[in-house]
Amino acid sequence: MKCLIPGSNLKVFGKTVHALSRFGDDIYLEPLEKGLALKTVNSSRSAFAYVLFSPAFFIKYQSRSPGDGLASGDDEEESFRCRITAKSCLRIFKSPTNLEKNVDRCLISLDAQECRLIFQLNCRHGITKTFTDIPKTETLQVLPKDPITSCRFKDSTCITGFPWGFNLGGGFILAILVARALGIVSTSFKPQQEEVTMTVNPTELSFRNYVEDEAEPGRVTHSELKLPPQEFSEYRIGVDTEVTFCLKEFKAILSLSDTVRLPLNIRFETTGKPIVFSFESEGSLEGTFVLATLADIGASQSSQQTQPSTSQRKISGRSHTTKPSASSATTGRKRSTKHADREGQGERSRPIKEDVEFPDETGWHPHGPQEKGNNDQPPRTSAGSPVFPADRLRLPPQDMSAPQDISTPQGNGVKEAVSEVNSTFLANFMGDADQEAEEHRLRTSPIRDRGSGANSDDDDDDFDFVPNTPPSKKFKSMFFGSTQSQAAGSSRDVEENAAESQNPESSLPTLTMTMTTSLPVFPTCYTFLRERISVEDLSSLLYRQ
Amino acid sequence: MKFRAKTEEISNIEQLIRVCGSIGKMTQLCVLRISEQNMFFILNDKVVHGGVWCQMNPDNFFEEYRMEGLSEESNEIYLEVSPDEIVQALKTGTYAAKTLKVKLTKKSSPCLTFEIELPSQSGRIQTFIHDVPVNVLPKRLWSDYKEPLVPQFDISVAMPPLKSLKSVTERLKNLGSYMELSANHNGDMRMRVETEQATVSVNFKDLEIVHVDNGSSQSQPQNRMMGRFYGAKVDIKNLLMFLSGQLVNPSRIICNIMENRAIHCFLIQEDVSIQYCMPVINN
Repeated sequence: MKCLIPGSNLKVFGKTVHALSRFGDDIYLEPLEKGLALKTVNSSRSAFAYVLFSPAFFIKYQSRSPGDGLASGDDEEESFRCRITAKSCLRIFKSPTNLEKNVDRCLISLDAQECRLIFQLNCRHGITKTFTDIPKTETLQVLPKDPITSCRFKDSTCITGFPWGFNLGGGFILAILVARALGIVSTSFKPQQEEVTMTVNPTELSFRNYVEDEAEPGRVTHSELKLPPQEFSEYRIGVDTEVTFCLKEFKAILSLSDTVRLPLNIRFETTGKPIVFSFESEGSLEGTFVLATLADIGASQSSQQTQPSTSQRKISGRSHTTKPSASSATTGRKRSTKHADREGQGERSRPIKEDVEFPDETGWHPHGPQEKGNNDQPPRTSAGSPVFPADRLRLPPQDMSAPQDISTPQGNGVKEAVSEVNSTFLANFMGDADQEAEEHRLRTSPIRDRGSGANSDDDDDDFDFVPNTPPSKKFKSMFFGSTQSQAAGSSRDVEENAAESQNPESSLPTLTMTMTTSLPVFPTCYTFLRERISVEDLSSLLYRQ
Repeated sequence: MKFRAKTEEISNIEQLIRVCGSIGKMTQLCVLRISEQNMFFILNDKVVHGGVWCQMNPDNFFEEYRMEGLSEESNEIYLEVSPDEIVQALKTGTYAAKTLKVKLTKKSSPCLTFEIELPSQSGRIQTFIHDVPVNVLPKRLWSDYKEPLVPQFDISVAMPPLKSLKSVTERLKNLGSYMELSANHNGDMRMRVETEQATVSVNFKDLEIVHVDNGSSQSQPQNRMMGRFYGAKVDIKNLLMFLSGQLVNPSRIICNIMENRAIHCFLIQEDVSIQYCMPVINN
């Protein structure tokens, strides 16, 4: 695997590493055809994070390079993953903001045979910092099979990257939030606060600090933040409910989504069921985060939750799902009480795994198979309805740009998507004319006309397509505002300049200096090279010319 | 008992945070006394932390201020609060709070409720509510929290700026744990730390001597030798706690010393005054 991250995207990459490191101790790196996936799961398996950087995010991306000894299976199941400790990764991306200023490019390469992951930062002034792991199996493991068994996708109908075969099921409650509106949440609770409770009803969403586990709940400050539904670009609540989840991971998610400036989707069902956060930018980045929620909520609170709310539902077409919502909430609650009985009140962070592995066939849905079918795929018919189509949710992001019929069966859709990705991927390495054609094809793909979901509308608001913009530049203009996007738009010029500026300096005396610091994990090798910097990098600089 | 206050000025909230933060540095738990004219933060501890008496004029902090005490004769409220919790609650509002409302409420337990309205990015209002639990003190305990009597001091001197005091004290802290703080009528103030190896003293010169006018003491200064130092020994930690806690920027700090008996610092600012009585170590 080899990939080259442009300096302007390094901040996002670094922030992602930071966010993931707040989840778990290890980060799993997974080079896929559709992009580089970073995953992590926390030690108690109650939180899972997945961020996918598609090839458009990079200047250059090769999921497999000849001779790196990787299996050539296209299947995700067969792809390998490697594990690095989050700590060692953090060392490299210590300060994402500074990285953006000082680093031109970052090359990540993985040698699977030698068990080496190399980060090479090309900084300003011709400094190259190389971080190599000690080839130790503890530090880096190339794993032929997924060690997190629960991370394996159960089937293609699951949302991409979901662990534990999590299925959104029927009456899921959906809220789409603009992340910046939630920035206040991360600063307003005490730093030592562990969990927050999110309470929703059609007129209000509120966050409270979770104090039930305190020795004296009455002696602790109760904080509550109330937000009107207007704060959210989309706000759909099936039933009144409340979920309690970890603040630490939530903060990490908020901070990351703030960095990438994407609307944050929040999906959840009810008490004790996992809550899912996700953001997605068309074709360059997607993130999915699953947090476990507490199940042992007192009887007084859960009695409120079962009341199905009938008022102020934004979507008229959604009324048919009201009933499943209510019923599912009830069953959900039953289930959680059962769990509480079985496992005792003491255990709070019950792994989601147990919860979600119940297949629908176990009869939790009292309304029989017909209802179940309805639950599983509610919005199949709803191409034009504002209901967030679950099948769209389940598609990988590339599907958005794929010329795919809506009624295409899921399996085919995925396959098509993969092939589409391949061509996009190739497009990066094609000549300009080909790329243009490819771009054009992508732009005019039917999905653009469909425009059924609010999400894609939002994306449209965020940025306008510029003809002939390669995917990587699209990304930039999307993330770094208009002023920077112009700068980013001329990135090729910059690169040319950089390439040129290498040459005059070759007459300067060569300063070659190698320092090896004694970092416990990564011996860092700073190599100051004026001209020799670029045997490899020049080629990557010039690969487009 | 009723209490309700409201402000729309961010500067007021910030000032309130500074005052509470200063108190919070010195103590975890103190008494908030609310009367019609004034608000007080009181710590009545002579041994460990020293006594704190902080007086605030609510008119300078709140545009709206209403209270109803226990009864008409004793129109006051005494609450036991944690100043740190108040700071934590108020900090939500430091960005761009529109309004801050403070109320005494009865939820599952008595609470001081801080309601902060923040304008969101979309221009709507987000409401943040913090319920800080408090203890309402019964009337029989009120007498413990009277204003401390100011005794007859040997000398009162206006202290040098807090910053320089703090940096000096921080360095002296590394030498020993106790310090003798003394001053004479020439306007010199001395901080002295004695250890087995060395004695280090830091002198501040030309400070203003404050003459406290309370009748009978008029003749006394003349009797005293001008160069004589009056001092008392204090725990450096206590002094440092007091100095570093002062997030407010006082116009004047007066240090009153009663030889080997008491050190009493008096911070004066427009809208707030803080008295701190440091515990003195006798040996």
